Amino acid sequence: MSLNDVVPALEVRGLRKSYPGVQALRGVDLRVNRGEIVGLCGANGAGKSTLVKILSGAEQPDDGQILVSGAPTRVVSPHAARQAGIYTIYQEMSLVPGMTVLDNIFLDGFRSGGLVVRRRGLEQTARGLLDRLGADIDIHATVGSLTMAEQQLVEIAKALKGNPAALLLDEPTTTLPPNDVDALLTVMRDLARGGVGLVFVSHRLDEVTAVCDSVEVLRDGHRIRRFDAVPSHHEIVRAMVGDRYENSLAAAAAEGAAGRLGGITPGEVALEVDGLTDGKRVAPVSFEVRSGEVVGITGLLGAGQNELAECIFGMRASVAGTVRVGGRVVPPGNPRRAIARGLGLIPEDRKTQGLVLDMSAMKNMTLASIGRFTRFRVLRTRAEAEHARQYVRELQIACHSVHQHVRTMSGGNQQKVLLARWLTRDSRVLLLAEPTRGVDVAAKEEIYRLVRGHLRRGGAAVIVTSEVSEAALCDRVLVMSVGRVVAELDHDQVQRDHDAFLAHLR
Amino acid sequence: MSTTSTQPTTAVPEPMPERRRRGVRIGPQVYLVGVFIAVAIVGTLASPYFLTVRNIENIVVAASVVAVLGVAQFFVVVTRGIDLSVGSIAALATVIAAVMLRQGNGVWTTIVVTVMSCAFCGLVNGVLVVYARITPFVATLAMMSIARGVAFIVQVGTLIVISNQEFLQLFGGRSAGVPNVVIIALTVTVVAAFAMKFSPLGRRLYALGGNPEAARLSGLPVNRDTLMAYVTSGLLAGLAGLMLAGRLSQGSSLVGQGYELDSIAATVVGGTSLFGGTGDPVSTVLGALVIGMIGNIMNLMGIQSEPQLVIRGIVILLAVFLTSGRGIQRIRDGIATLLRRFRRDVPAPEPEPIDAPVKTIDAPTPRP
Repeated sequence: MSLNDVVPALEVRGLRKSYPGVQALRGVDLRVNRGEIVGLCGANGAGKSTLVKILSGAEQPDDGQILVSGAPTRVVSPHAARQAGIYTIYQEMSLVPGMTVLDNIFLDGFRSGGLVVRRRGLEQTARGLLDRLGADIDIHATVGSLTMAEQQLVEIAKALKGNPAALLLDEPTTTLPPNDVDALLTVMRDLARGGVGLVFVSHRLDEVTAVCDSVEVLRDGHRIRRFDAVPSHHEIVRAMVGDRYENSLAAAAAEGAAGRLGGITPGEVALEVDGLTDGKRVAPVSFEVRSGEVVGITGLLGAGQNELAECIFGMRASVAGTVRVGGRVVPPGNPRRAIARGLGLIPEDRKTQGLVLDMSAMKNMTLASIGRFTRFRVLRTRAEAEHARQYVRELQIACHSVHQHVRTMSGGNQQKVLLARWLTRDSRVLLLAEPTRGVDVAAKEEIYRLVRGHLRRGGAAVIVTSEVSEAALCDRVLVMSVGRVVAELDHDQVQRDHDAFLAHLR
Repeated sequence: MSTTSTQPTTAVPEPMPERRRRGVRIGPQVYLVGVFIAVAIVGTLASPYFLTVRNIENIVVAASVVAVLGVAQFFVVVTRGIDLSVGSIAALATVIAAVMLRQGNGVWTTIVVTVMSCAFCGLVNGVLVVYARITPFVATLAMMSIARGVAFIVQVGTLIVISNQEFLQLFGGRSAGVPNVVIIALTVTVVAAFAMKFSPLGRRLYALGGNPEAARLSGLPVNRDTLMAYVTSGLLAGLAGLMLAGRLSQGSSLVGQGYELDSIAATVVGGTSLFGGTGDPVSTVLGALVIGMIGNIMNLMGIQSEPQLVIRGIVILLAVFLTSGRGIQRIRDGIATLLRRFRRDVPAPEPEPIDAPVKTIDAPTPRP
């Protein structure tokens, strides 16, 4: 028993992992003691998900050690991870909706011995596990009929059956309503009291500070800091964002107004959003953007900023409110009409929502304006290729031909192809969701340059981003939290007092 | 299948896009032409009769109906759908044409009404898929049953003989020594190939099959285009039915059974992915010819029909493995791995970690 107090439930030393072109983890350490809840924080691309994938056995590290209860362990598969005592609960459930709670709990192996499943014993075990979680769930109900919170408890019960040393919870609260979140946090505390080491991965810092005993912060593949006591909300954000934030401002100061994307005298109103809400993830939001202006919408992940962009573009149904472009109402729930009114969207996930990966760069660029390249209903492929070549030169897209499939292009270049699509279309208002995610520094600058060019030509832009440093480049910043806009700051306010700006993020 | 690219192979990254680019330039896939030639060579070796004008004509005439049905199928498959009703719609077309001709309607009236009726069946398929949100497999499975049933009801009896000479000449005769059905099939192929490559609709269909969400968010009329794909499929199936009616001089609800599967086989052998967004009509027609040749060769060799089914199935699998391109890649990778292992001379096993046994855990933790 005393040994258990000293030996951590889970320890990670010098973990490294690289993917083609990306060094995701550059020597990460992590320690989870028995009975401890460790918060794992980091911005997008910091390496959190890679770390979770490695610990759950889905990916193999290039280098480094994993120790479970002090014993070095090779986690070669999800099954091996469970055998070793590491159990991961993902944001997306791994339950079979059509099967009963009981069957789901024992889905990954009947440990009763022998060929015949001893039903009675299993039922008892399942009830025992659920009782331990304080969950009143009928074990014969089908999982599909349960609420998300109940399903999560079943998932945890399934994990507890294996008597894990460490339990990883990857964004477990994002799909839960507020009341159920509190209940889940209580369950987590109980589990910790029972001697399990928990790793809580979350973007919701309020929850992290509420439930965790210590916090580990990752940034750019490094473990940047371990807080042994519960840090303040602000300290975590600071560690997550680092001096990248200050640097970008310093750079801005050095080059005059270069660190500002817009800075152009705004013209007439280009985009007007009035009381727009989807009734679920986005509370009524109103704002306007003038031509020549760029507005940043930021918030921690899941604060509703992406959903807001989806509502504006009509890809998510809105229940109330209007969107106007150049004074004309955009019919809700119809991206085609939104595009016709002059909106263009660079979606959050360019691969699944933006690009046709097995089509050429040229065809992706002209996709939204094919009509422009036809004569007598026949495509003028030569004019199309010429147009594409012009954009390849102008946007400095690295490809060996405009006929290269976008699948084989780098993230930054893919993003430029998407930008070219809307520039081809002459879209007046660009909605850019996480435009520089997964894009290298050079391409990032390039994308900013293109947005600036768009603004100079009288266009308007909305940048939806969870990177505060990116939002800080905009003329105005809306900060969102749990679906509503909690602050609206102009560029100067953000620069003058970034602590106040960061304080709005929660 | 396509997720294998993340494997940490030490292969040079450059040649890959190069090869892709070449594949895009040449319409029908290189491997498909290889398969085509290979089958032709096997045929020549198997029977001296194979390479005669008469036999080749046999093959081409027989394949022309499957080719048109294959192109019909292609329009739906490229949108990630599948059309199981093409064979039944063709049967319905034979019956409608026969009935109308028996009633003394003109040939062209008959053709227009028949083809329009079949396009309507396609429209129903499309509406079921797009607006009722029934999966293409189920919607067209129902249509497959309905169309054949309607054909049976309309014909009242076993079959209706077609005696209209003008009609029989149009679909069974020749022009300048070439069978008319071959000319029709060629025309359909060329028009379809042109439409897929040079019309906005073709471009949109590829986009829609390649990534429906991206197509929608680019403002493409996704619903309308999907409908168009099913209508085109129905229309071409009707045309194939007219070709059948001309060849058999009859309308019957029993013809064209199994053609839906032949048409799918033609598209798939032609290298079209059932996941949409790839392939082209010319490849599909080549696929139909490959399948036609295989059947012909086996007939020439006097193989009975039951073993023929088995062999045909195996050859289709092989052809798909090769024409999808992945097959060649796999074989090449496999040989490379073997060579590497052989050279290293060390077992150094790199087992796929997916289903690794429990043994590979170095130290199972002793826990109570």
